[in-house]
Amino acid sequence: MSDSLIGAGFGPPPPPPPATGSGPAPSTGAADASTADASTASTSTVGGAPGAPAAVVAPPLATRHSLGTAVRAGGERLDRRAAEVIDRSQIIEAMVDGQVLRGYAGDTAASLLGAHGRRTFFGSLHEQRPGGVRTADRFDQEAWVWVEGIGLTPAAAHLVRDGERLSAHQRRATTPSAVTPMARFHLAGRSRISRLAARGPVAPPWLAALRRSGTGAEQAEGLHSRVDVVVVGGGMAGLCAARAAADEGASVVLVEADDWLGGRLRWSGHFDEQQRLADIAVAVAGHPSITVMTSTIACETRPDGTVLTVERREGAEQVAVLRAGAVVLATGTSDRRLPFGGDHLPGVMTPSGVRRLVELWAVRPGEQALLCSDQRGYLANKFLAVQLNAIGVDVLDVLVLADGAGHLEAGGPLALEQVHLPSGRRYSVDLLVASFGAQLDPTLVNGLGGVVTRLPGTEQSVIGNLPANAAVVGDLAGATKVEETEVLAGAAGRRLARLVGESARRHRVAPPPAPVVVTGTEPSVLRPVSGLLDAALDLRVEVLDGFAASTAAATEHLVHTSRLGGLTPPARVVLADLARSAATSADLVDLVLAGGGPLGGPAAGALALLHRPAVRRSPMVDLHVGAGARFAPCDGWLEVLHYGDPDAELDALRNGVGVWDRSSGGWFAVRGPRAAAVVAEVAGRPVADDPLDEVRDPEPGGTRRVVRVGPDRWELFAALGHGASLEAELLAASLAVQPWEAVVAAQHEDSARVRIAGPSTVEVLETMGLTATPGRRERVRVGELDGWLLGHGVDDVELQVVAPAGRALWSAVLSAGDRLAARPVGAESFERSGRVTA
Amino acid sequence: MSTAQLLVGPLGPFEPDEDTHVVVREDGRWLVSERSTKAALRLSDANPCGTVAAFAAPSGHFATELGVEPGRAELFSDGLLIAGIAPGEWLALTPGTGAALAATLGGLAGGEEVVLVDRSGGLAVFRLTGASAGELLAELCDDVRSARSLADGAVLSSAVAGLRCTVVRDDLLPEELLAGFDLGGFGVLDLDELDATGGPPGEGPVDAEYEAPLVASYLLVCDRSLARELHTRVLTAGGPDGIEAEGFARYRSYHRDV
Repeated sequence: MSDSLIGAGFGPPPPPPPATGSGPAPSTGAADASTADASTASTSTVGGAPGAPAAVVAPPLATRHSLGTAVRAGGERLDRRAAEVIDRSQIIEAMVDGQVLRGYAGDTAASLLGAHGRRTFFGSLHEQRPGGVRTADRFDQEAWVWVEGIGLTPAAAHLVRDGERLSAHQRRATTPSAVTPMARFHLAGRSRISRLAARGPVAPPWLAALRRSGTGAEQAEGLHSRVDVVVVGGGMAGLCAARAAADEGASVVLVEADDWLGGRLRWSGHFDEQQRLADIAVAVAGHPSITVMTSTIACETRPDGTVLTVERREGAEQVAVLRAGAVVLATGTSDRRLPFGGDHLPGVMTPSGVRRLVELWAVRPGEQALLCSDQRGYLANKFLAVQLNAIGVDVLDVLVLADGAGHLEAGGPLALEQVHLPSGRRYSVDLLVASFGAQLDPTLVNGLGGVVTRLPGTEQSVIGNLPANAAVVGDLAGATKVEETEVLAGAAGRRLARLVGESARRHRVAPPPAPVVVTGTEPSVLRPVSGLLDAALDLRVEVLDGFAASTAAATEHLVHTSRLGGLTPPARVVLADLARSAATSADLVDLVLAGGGPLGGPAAGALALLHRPAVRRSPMVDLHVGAGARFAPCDGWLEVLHYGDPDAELDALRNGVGVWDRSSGGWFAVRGPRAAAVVAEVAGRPVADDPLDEVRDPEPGGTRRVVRVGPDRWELFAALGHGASLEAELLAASLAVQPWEAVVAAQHEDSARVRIAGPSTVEVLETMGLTATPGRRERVRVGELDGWLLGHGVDDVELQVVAPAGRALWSAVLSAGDRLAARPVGAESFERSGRVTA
Repeated sequence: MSTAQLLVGPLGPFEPDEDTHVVVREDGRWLVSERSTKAALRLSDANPCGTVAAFAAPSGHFATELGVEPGRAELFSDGLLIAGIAPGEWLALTPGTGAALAATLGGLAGGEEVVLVDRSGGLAVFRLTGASAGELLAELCDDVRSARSLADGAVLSSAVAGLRCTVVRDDLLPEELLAGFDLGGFGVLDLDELDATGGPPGEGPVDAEYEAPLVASYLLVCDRSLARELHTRVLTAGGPDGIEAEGFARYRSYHRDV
């Protein structure tokens, strides 16, 4: 057990590096032959004056394959790395896209293909774009492979088995089950989106999974495991904390996402630090009070010390619910990713991703590289440049981007080929290492009740409000030196062990059973958790994060997300089904938030913010306020109920003329080559041959009206209070086609609509120089305003202009009806008048 | 002055206000406030414009002709600003009318199916300007981590002060550089004209990235009826920084050639 945990290449230790100081990883073999200064080896610029557009060209590819690498049975590998996790004595074969590729035991799909020169993987399902390895760890969501018997799975997280069949070509998923459960847990546990879920009243997706499973851990006895201390993270900090706690007599479970222990220090530390790490790892792995769970991700924590984990080996998954007396978080930090043009291209990597590929799998990440960072990352990047040079990567430049990553522009049809700088300089590279500091994932901290606060004006975060039975150690706590980490993590482990021990004595609780019993569930049990959670594949968190508007905008938002590639085809199907089953988009939101449907996780987290609705207003709202109107929310809009005397308003509608501001919601435009199909589904009848500009009711006295306004263009009007349901239906119908094939635009924001009704309507229109035809929509001119006149009936019309002209229209109508005693009326009297409000 | 047939933005001004001494003027067909400020941080009305939403295949002819990538915005010589909202989805803002812009964009379709929706008046547009605008935006928007997070010309869809917005970084040249240049656009600066008439010394399109003394500026675009709420929330949040509101101003800006 110990050997497998520690990893194949973790000993014997490598010779000490020639350089001194605080630099990271040692180089070995032929790499040591080249320890040139990065500045001398890094740049070759061809071009004119600084700032002028210039191409930086690397030597021809043919000259750059010899240094430190060799084509071996397992692909093109670097010389043996000190920290590598592949076993070069065991050769495996995998069928990848019809081609037999040889690798080594311990290879992931990412490293196996990388060793054979493959850089593009299955990327975005929705956009059909290739993906590339980014961080090369279990949380890397950029590169995917299709594995026979498993389905889509992250390439960097899948250990290749001998004889396995894989595909890295673009291929659409055909069923929701095509995505492995682990993919979902990755994001459920680690994505920035799930942080939102923690804020809102949203059931975590894993809980929904357990509820649905017949053998869920929440329902069966003996499946929970009690333990004194759970340590999340098997790096130096986690190891020290675990050993210290165990030495104090506590039972400890150590959870590590990788297949081995050691964390980042495994490949980036000094020789003596790595030696200490190896010693501690051996001690922990062999400690009788410590249970080590590798290949396991901690997905969720709770303030009561519950930790939910998912272990994955060879495509099978196991869920464990650990009840811990105390929790130590030692998950470390990850490279911060900042968006820039082309940042999704294969070949764009983080520094850790590059180092992992090189040091753990002996795979050269590229041929020509450009290294970019902010000011703080410059020195580390210079060192990385030396390391890359040593393994035969031409580092063309090491840049500091003072203004952030947004100025970068990476380009290439399928993979990275060029990088453009704002100055006009252009680099031809196939590897761009973008380093912009580190970030921590607050999910587990939040689960314990802790709060992560970003220091104003900095990229640093502090963690506070942690309960007494929890601790954060290592990088997560801001430690910068290994010695400091060892001391502080050890102290934290001892403190928590004593705390748990004292608590047990005080409450006379029986000592927890050991070892840990893990709840086993098959992947198929978790598969029902599908739908939007699958969207995590290529979710653009920038869009989901912080969304807020109104409940009526929920569906729109989800559809908007799908346009960004956030929804997989199966997720779109699920969403469409749900949208159809929900009477209104507000219902849809409730459905999502209740966790009763297959939608959950990120989407639910984002939608939770919908509970801060902003009420929409008509452009004439100030005029109504001035006239003493009473308002009520309706369909997410502020609707005028009445102006103080509803009976008089009803009388005006019956005997004179009433003017109603109908700007609040319920007007939709559907356009595009497939618009007819979308409208037909909502209308319940074919609409393609409808006469132009004829107002039609799908059903007599119904709540919606349809007008064909041009080729491939329709407009729909909903009755008061039915706008949200119409919107939900329209958007659900539109999900079946590509976004640009049928655009559903809620145009109620764009227009001001004034309804004129009552026996004197015709006279008011005559005063304005207008004539209406019942059942027709006509273009008219009101003074200087262009608009439309909709004839709902002989004495019931609607004028429509652009929103900024709404006040002018309102004044013009009231002015024209002045001698006819026209008066503004609210929704209450209009409904009481018995008129159709659509 | 008759205001009956003028277009009014979501914030007004609805009529001359004697109490607050807000002066109202006509700008084209729009009724706008003359209110101005010299505050270092300001929130300006940018509503008098036409807006068109465009939808087309992300890698089709129209997208190629437009040449605006998702997440980026481009300014064109006539003041037209096109923002890539998402793959296959763009938002165009113009100093002219939305109908004319839709016709122009329709000409780029080249037989491809393109959906153009004139959203003029349906969206509210504000401009947040000032050296500390980025910091304020970072405070209001979770996705903007720092003042440097968004480069000039970047487009972001997110929530600002809890309201769904499209944010376009659209930096400005300092006002003093613009004296005497009446370009009349929605916010475009013709660098050639500046050079020819003795504009900013040393300025030029090449390497302007590092030398142009630009002022950080962000266009905030939200649904029209949320405009007041956004306006109030931004002003409230920016209060400690001395933010002040101002009426419509034809600022000049350009996107550097990134």
